[in-house]
Amino acid sequence: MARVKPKRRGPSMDLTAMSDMAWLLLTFFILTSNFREPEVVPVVTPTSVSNQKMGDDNMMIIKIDNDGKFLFALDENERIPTLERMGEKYGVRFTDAEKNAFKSVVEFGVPMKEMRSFLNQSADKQKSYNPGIPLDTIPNKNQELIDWVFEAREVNPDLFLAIKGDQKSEYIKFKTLIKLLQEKNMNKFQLITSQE
Amino acid sequence: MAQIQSHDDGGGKKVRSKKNSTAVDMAPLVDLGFLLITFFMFAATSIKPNVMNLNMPPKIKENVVPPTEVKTKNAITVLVAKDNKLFWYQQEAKNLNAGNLNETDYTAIRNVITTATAGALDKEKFTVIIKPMDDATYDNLVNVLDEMEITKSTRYGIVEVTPLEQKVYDEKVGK
Repeated sequence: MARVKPKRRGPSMDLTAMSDMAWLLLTFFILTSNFREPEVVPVVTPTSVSNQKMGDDNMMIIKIDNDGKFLFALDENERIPTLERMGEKYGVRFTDAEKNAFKSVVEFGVPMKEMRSFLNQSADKQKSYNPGIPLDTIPNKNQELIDWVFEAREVNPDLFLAIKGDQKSEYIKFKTLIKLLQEKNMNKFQLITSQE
Repeated sequence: MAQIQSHDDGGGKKVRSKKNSTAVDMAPLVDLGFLLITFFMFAATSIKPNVMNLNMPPKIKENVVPPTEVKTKNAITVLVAKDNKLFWYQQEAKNLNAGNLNETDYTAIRNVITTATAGALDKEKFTVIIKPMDDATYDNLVNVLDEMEITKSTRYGIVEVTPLEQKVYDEKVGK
């Protein structure tokens, strides 16, 4: 009787399942990650050894660009209510279209009195127009930036303030900001830095 | 690699069309899938910026609590000036003059702080007083705060420059 030889097979196996899993994971990661919104004004942050990562949500960001202009960024959920509160405070009435336009504004540096004309512009024009949010050193004068911070806090009390300053921005800008916030009893900040 | 079984009929009269197996090689597909996963995972983690916590003292009404005096040996004052210059002193404010205001830079400051910490009477209470001048850059401030982290100086404060220090500094730089 002839011996039964085991059938010779190559080392190949069915990779379909593995491929399925890989693509499934890929889809999952793409769908769950939120993409970074493009920055309107580029800011080069100082380096530090800190390896604490910035939180995902409940953040508002004040940007100081290298000319010392202030910009403000809010999370999408807080944008419209904060704008409404600011409108009330400064006596500006926004239409629904303008509110919706504000929802897609990632960051802005526009004083309240120009806000309406700013929101009626196209998105491209909005990006190139950033005169900065006014912040006067003298108390009780034009402190729109501080108002933005506290109105946003009224909307969501858990908001944490991060400051993203440019390397070249002058310290006096930062000092003014901190001092005015301290006067309103806000003492905790996060400074955004980059890895060394 | 995918196995494509080919049978040799070996001289049958009718030429039958070859039966190709429907198995496709999955290996490149898997490769590509995992490559994209790795890419997206790295890209996703690297966009989160780092942060540094900064807690300032709550505002105190000046006439209620007198400013606490820190013993000179237990404190070092660092002046952050423009053009990336740094100055430090360990003096009582009234003795400060251009002679004992020392200049240093961002690499040497670490040694200065560690030496001062070692020489402190009470190491627990050793305090670094950071006084950035108005024309220093924001980068300068962050660098000094970074040094605090590196030298593990947990007690530090950012304070405004006094007129006397400004005067001594002007004298020092003017020379």
